[in-house]
Amino acid sequence: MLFFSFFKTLVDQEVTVELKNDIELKGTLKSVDQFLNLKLDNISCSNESKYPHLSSVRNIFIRGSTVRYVYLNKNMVDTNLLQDAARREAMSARK
Amino acid sequence: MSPLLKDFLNKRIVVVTTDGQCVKAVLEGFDKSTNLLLSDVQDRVSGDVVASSYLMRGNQVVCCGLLEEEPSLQPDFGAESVITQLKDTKNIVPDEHLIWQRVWGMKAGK
Repeated sequence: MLFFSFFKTLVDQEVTVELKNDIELKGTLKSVDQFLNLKLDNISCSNESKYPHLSSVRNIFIRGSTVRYVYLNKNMVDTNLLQDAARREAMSARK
Repeated sequence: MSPLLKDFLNKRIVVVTTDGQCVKAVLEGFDKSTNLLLSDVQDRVSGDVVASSYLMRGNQVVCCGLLEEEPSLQPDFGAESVITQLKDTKNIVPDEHLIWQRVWGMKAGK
């Protein structure tokens, strides 16, 4: 559940999501659920001319299982805090 | 039930599937594994009617976007040949078995 919480802290920030079919979508993260399904608002497709299928779409739901990468801005993530939380979760899982 | 799709209920959406198909349809229902019940399904590019009603397995869904254009209006994508077919999500290497055959051949030759 750690990354679910992590993504919840990123809500309302601008992210770029690369899907497994090579489409890249940039937009404001609006919500996440437990499967890491994402909802983006105001999306723009970085290779729009190649894939115009999502023109005239602004609000999009992305199934978590088809996400390859989520690009984040460096200042959006505190890696030390995240590392610490990951350790703590691993410790509590072992008990 | 994943509440994320609730805003799209009974609206026209675009659905991209894992095999690279792209359709527009009305979202009639869904469940927590993103199985979708669609109606009035049309091809996104050509506008051809695919089915009047469609149950899409959740694991076939890549994304669904809320369509914000006139439902009757067929968007002008320019010449249809220009539009690249969407890729699937399978990441299949063409003729992968031939590559591995060579790898094994090199190993045997050592």
